[in-house]
Amino acid sequence: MLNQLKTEFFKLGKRWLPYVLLVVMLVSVLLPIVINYINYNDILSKHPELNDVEVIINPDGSTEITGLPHPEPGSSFDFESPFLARQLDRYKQSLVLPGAMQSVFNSVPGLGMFLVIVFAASVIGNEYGWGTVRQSIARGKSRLAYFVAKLSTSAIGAAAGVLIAVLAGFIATIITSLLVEGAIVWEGFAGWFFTSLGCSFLVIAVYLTMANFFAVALRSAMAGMAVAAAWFIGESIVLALVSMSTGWLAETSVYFISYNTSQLLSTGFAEGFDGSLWKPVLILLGYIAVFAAGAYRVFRRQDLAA
Amino acid sequence: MERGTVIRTCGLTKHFNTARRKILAVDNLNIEVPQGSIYGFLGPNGSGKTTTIGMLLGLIRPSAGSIELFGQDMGRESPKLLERTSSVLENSPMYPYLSGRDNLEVFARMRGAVDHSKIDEVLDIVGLAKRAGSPSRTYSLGMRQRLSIALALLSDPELVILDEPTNGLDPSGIIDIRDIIRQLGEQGKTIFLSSHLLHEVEQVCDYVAVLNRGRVIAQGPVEELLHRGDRLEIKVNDINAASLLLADVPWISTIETDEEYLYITADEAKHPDINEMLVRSGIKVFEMKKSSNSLEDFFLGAIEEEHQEAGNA
Repeated sequence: MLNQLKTEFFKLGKRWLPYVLLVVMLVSVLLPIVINYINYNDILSKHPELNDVEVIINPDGSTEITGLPHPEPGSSFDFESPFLARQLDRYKQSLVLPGAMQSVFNSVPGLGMFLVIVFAASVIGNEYGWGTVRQSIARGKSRLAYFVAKLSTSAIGAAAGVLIAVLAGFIATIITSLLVEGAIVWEGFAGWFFTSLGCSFLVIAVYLTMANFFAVALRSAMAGMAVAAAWFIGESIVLALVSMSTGWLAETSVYFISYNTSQLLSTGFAEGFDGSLWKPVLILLGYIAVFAAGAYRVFRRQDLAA
Repeated sequence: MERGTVIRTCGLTKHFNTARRKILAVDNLNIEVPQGSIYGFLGPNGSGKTTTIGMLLGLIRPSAGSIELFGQDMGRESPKLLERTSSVLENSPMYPYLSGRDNLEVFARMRGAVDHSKIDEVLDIVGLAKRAGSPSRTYSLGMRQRLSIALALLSDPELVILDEPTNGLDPSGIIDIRDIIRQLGEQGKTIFLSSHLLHEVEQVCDYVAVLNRGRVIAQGPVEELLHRGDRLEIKVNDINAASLLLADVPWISTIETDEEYLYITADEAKHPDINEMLVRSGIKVFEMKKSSNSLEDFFLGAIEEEHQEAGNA
């Protein structure tokens, strides 16, 4: 098993696909931070008087701006300043920890779902296309060991990708925090960070096992990607329709994958993990178990004809 | 010392279910491959050779019947038994983005140890040393086939299963592969060679099974099969008289004639007696020669017979 796992990583290391996917992930995490920082500096350079402005969010959700300079009668700044102050504050929040990491955690699993579908379907599905799955099994690899090694490679590879992207975002936001604020508030950050990371892994794992299942069942990377992506999109549409209905049909929405992933991504990221998130976690773990076990069952009984 | 049996199938059957119909690919196959033999598995395209190999290698689940490798049932011990085998699969599946050398390394890693000198050695044997660093997607079919053979040589298998190993090779490549097969045979390894090329099987194999429409229609030592239909060709001055004379001889199996020759099937030991009978009866014998069947004759004859039987049934 360990030999097979090492072999999988040897092969993976020689493919361009994981590197391309990682670059896409890193760009999607780092580019918004860079753009926000440029915009933040742009506003400040044009309106240095806004540097001391503070936007306070009241308990009722309304905002209050303090420190606005006294407007000169007739100047355009008169009208723009509250708007610019709010915009500046939004940029600041996206650049300063801990709020900045929320943007990172939103983009990692969001785009990551699609990237992991491509990745997981390729790891197993291409072996069918190349015929190399036959070569491995014919050389005395047990199907269980082969399957577990493949799934583990996808999972470890995807987890590494998420971790690298999150760490890159984390380092970038530490730098921007120091540049913008000059200091970082760490209070309560670690707990929230690891909860968000765990939620991201879980969301990614559901789509990883789904893509793996369809690639095995359809014996093709492309078909696996297409069906998993179609499920992702189709389920969102069905969920929207079901949510608009009434009675028992509306209640079924809580068992949809996308319902539970959005619960984790919205509530989990905003407020941290609380008891209400156990249900989505368990439902998603159920999906992971069904997809993984289903894929192995199909693989175990599959004829690997030329 | 009596030879053991490396492969034994009993009632091996495989049918594939498609949306429209059920296809019987292998039908009640019973073969025994003796240890240390070069066993030819001969049949036209679509006769079930690759499906049989798929079942032997644990790639395809049999619909019925059993397989024993090295005297043990394949059902439970499949991976363990397959570690003692090597194979060249149809189409030579390889990782296209990896070089020839890396492909060999991948499969060596799966079995634990990577012996780089052994990789170089097998690349040299199959004549791929110079292109070993190029991605295998740039290889021709013949080069992929050579790489596949290198892969089969990488471990030290007791049984080598080759599915059409000379496909895509040029004549010199075919000769090289034939030599490799002979060398493996001389090392005492058991070779199971599937082919639709009669002369290939005839030249290297000592046992053969002929497969048609998923069924074995003949099997045994190649020499025995080739001599099964040996005939004596006799040129005489009076074909009709000779034919009448020999018609009542009980140990002559068949007599056929054309304008010039008598064709007689009989035990080789009796050939001088035939000559003596003809001469004593005043028939002049101009020429007597033994004609051996080629495997092609045998193969075509066996398939023809099978078609006739199927037609009669």
